[in-house]
Amino acid sequence: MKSILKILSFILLISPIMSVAQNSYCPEKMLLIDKYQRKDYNGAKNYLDTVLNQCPDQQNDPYYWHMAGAIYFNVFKLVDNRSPVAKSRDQAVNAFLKSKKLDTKEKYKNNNVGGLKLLATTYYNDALLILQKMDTLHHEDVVKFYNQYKLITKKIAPNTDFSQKDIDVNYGLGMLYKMKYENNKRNYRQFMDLSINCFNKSIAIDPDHYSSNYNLGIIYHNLGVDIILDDLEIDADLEKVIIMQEKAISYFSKALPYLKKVYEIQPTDKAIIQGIAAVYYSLNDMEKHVEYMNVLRDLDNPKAPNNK
Amino acid sequence: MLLFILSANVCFSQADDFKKGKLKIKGMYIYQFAKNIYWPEEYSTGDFLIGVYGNKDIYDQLSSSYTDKLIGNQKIKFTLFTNPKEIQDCHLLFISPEKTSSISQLKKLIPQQTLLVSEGQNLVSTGSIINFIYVNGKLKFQVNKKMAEKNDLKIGQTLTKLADSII
Repeated sequence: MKSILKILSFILLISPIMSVAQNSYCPEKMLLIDKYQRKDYNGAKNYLDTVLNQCPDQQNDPYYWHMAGAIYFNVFKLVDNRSPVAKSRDQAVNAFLKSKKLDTKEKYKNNNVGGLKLLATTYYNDALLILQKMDTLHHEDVVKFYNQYKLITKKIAPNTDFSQKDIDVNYGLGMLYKMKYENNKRNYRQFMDLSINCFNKSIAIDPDHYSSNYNLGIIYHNLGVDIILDDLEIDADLEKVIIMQEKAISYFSKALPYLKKVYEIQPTDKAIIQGIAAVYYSLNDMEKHVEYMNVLRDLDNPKAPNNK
Repeated sequence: MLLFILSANVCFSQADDFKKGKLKIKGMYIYQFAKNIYWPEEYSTGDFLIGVYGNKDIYDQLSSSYTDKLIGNQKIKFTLFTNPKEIQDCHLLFISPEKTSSISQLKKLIPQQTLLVSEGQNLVSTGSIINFIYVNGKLKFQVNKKMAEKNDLKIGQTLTKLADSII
């Protein structure tokens, strides 16, 4: 868990490289540095615009933006208490990125990249925390935070391989949307579609991803059952019965390849075998239904080993 | 990985839900047959009687969903028969697949105006008026319109339109 979450301890304080020999002399910038050194981060943040107003050439100074990044970073950490909704985090990212862009001599490169890395990690952690808490109210933030993590990471390490994280986050989001749907099936049908979409994204990266295949199999199976048991009014007319039955059969048919895939990976998982048997029953393929029920029975009552 | 946190939330529908689904569909079809077939005048008073021969599950499904619902102004009542000798006069008699082979015998015991609904390979072999079949996993029905008309039963347009086949 710790290896994934990497909750920041913030032991590493962002300490801007102190440099005053930039362009023309700007007394306001000296005052800004002074506020920072006195750890008056909020005061420093509020003074950033004053420096730009009094010394417009600072707009193109990588050091000014490096300082701004460090100030916003500390405001995020110490004033805003690392709140996921704090503006200071985005402001810190933007300032460090601007400094990085202007810093053609790469004088502040290490500190800018270090700050951006830490901030990127906070976005990733915030996304994971929502998933771990299964916080259905903040599902949109998962996407927002994870995208922000990727955006920053791509700027500092363009060759980063996000495959595993994409799989994990999409799987987690799939579970989150699934829970949201199950909390209110009638009104939240769209979340089931989102859930299916997320599991499919994981499978597109790793076709053998067990949990995504497993969940898609279950979702399609349960959708088929729900459409008949919950959605179909008992005195619906015959046309509707036929249409709903078609839909249910379509869902059952969709469930099968996913359940078979996980059965290949985990042939002793009884829940999966029961699921496959149930799908075949619903599709009225009774031979296959019996075949899988027998597999289940054999697992429940393993034959004595032949010791001849 | 997030799996260990999230996998506990994963489960199939209740074990028997998939069976309930099939029963519900079959029950809905039977109810719609009762609504879309017209019996002779002398059958339009008293309760509307539906018998089930040989399958308690479909009887339970039907009786729990449709008892006392109206066909015209007749209240629906259900009876489960386990023995052919018990079978009484009813508007509609559903014969379970296990008992389908006994239709020719049953026909001697019941009035012509009883709508026989079976579940077997095809209409010709079962000798019923409506027969359930599964086509690509879907429950469908066949109608023997000629036999129905011969027995003074009028098949509604909805059924003839939606039947898988009609003879």
